[in-house]
Amino acid sequence: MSDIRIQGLAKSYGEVAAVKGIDLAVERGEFVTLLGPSGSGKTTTLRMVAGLEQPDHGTVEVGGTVMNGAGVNVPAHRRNMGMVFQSYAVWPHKTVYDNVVFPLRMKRVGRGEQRARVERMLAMVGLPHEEYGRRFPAQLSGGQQQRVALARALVADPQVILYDEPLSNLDAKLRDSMRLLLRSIHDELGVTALYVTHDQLEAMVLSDRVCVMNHGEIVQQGAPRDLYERPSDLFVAEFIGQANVLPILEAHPRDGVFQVAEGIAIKVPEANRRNAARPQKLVIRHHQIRLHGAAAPGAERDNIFGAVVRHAMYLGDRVRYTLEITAGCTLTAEVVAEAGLPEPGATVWIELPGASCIVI
Amino acid sequence: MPARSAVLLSAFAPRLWSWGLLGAVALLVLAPLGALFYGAVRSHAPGSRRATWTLENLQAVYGGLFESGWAQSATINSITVALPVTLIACALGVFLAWAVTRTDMWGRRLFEIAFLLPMLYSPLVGVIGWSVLADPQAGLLNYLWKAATGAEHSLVNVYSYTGIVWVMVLYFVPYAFILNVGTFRAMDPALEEAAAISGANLWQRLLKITFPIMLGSTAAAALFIFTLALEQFAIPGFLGSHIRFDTLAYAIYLRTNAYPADLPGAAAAGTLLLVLAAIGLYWYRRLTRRAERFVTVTARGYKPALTPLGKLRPVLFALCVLLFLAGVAIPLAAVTLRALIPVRTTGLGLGALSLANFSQLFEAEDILLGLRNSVYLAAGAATVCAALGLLLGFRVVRRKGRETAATDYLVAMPIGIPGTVFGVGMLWAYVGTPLYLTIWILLLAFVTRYLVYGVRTLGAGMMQVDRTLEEAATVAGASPLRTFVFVNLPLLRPVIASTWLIVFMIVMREVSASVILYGVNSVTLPVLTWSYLVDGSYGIASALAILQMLIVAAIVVVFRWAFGVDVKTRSTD
Ligand SMILES: Nc1ncnc2c1ncn2[C@@H]1O[C@H](COP(=O)(O)OP(=O)(O)O)[C@@H](O)[C@H]1O
Ligand SMILES: [Mg+2]
Repeated sequence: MSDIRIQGLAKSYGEVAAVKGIDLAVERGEFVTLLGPSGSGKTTTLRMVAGLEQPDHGTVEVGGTVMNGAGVNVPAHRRNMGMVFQSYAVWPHKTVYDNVVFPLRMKRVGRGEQRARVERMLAMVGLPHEEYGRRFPAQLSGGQQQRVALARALVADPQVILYDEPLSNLDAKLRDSMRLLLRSIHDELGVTALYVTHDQLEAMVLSDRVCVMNHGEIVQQGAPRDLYERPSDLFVAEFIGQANVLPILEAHPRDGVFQVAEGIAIKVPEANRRNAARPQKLVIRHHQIRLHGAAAPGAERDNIFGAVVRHAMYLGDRVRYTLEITAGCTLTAEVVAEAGLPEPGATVWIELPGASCIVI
Repeated sequence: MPARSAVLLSAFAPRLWSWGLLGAVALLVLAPLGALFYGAVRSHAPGSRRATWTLENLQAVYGGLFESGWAQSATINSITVALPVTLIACALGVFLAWAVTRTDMWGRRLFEIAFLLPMLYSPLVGVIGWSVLADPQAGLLNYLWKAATGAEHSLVNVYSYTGIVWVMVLYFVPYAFILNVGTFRAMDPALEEAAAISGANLWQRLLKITFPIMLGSTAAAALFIFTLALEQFAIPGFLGSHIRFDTLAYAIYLRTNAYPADLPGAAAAGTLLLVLAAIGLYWYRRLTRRAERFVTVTARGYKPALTPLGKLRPVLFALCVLLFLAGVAIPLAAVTLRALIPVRTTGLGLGALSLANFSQLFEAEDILLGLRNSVYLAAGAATVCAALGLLLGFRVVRRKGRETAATDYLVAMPIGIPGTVFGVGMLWAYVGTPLYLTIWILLLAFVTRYLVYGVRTLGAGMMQVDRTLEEAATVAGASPLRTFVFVNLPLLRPVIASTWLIVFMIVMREVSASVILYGVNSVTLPVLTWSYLVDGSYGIASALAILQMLIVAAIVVVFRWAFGVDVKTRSTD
């Protein structure tokens, strides 16, 4: 059963169409992320689910109840949700305890139970009540404030929890540990989660399912691995991970061969052809190109080409090569740094494994 | 060893500069303050041969607090006016600020500008307007009331305690409004949204989250307004004089204006008002120190989602319209009407309206002089404050040190001194000098008093200029002076313009210190307005008030057009 069901959701600000008709279903207990560049409409979508923004069109259902729909608009305070904001939004005039207990007070939970539940939540986010309960937010670091916000969002057993880039104000190290905390709390409580971020790594690590957004629309959704390995859309291929995108000059669908430059034809298996009717681009990720050195590999393999090393950039653990197959056809490849790698100017054999090539 | 001393000198030269500036500022600021306390313990006016040391004045004032007499009643009057004025003005200011920034009320943007209009004119506009409307005998409202109902008695009387509070509340609402609008704008809307998500409805959000978070800065604004209300001279002075309801500020003025003037008595009373104001400012400082617990700055760039008012929408709109009518439109209309009625006419026939009062303005010698003086003074003080503010603000922000911190503190001191008290202090300080009774003492007074706007506004502006921009110029080979002229100045242009504008506006309407310091040749527009009003020449006073407003409005429009500057920064007095 879907816990959140969104249909045809749309919203404009004056001339700007922020969200252009989104359909999305989130299962109970699922962790779904909206991933996209800044301005792609993620926050607006999330805020409409929260009831903080009113949609122009479309319906939002949560737990089988219509929240937004024909003639219905349940205000935010009656939706039974939790939300974590980018700016923490921890109330500066309340102590940590008073911040977290607030949703329980609004729900008129009994005093004894209030205390027990707040203490449990504070322990879960790593801010034990004895030590932190009486502090004011100004006495906490950014990471700790975000933990308070997390406890506050979860304390009242919300039906769903919404996150709007909760980690983007934290420094890199904190972000790592907060990611782990978010995921472990999700595994423990199993509250349906809708998460917004522009950071693909974050989306990959946290989510069961990722929806990639661009210009107010969901362009592709799927498990993180699927999106990475089988992008069905050029935007997704380029946004997630780094990829070579080669124009297709001539397509021979019957043989599964696609020509990307003079004399360079690449064989791609059926399963990797997304756009069979009008193939336009061939995509292969940097790290999936194989270098075979100066010795030619066996002739039985497909997609083997000779190339000249133009640049080699040492990234520490890896080396990034710029390889020229023919004039005007250059690829970027990344390999694990080890002894005996070719130097600039060398001629090498490279392989574009058919299974890693995607035609879009 | 000359080489070594040269090195030493160049190492200390920047600090010498800072210390020199500190000395100059200290002299400027402490002279009137020191002179006030000196004057309070002298037996006769400055320069008198018979003057000796005495505690009599202080005893009359401070001892007088405990027995009935002018000292006690003036103190009580000051406080009993300032307290309710502060509370009501702040409540209205918070309400308006909330309605304008956070709700979907109709005409929000228009109201925001409309409620700032009173910043353009002097408190005398409210005084004249409400005198014309609610004079117990000739007031327009009473006239209409009697005509409509046939009643014998008047409906309203502005010459009363309630009348004074009413006019002062309306005068201070814009201040409360402007101070709280800033807080609402700076407050992260996510704080309220988080409460909504947590299950709090509109009232719970307002009562448990929004207002408590604002409490600190609203209380600070309230204390600020309290000190302004305490020192308000023109409104309670004129309205109260009809019923012998004197506040401290007015009692001080009376002492300087009586014949023979009782300058030691004025100084002694001045110290008392100073103490009261200082108490308010002390609490203001304490509150603003813990500011971090109250205001958090928004992260989102665009405007927050507005609270839908639903059925309350027309109610709020009507309230705002009423406030605008009572606070701005009706008194302004009354002043305009009065300005168009020639002196001797009593009827209300529209045929009697004429521009006689205005044409009279440009024939009277004293008015032309006052006009000239006011414009010179306002422009002069604005220019000096902007220039000095640039110099001092730059040092305060860029050369952190004990001496610059002290400078910053000293510069802010005069604004805490009530206008009339400041006037008396200036009088005592400069009475023996050639400045006395000339336009120069007024210029000096305004510069001393309003320099803080230059330093603070330009300092804040300077802080926004990324240091690396200066460093880039230095690395490119520019001397510090060239860096300042070619990098800082162009970037600060709008801030300089708005500083200039604020000081200009304030000086154009300053009454309380001017009325003590002016001489025959140094009358100003506000002083003349006051004098004509006190003499009962309402028509001319009205025309003068309108003239002053038109000049300021014209300058504001020019600045908006030339520099894109708005009148948003807080301006006081
Ligand atoms: N309150 C608002 N007023 C005007 N435009 C807005 C507002 N909120 C969002 N937008 C616009 O809508 C688009 C989507 O914004 P948003 O949902 O915040 O994107 P994201 O969260 O993906 O960065 C952007 O072009 C943004 O400028
Ligand atoms: Mg966003």
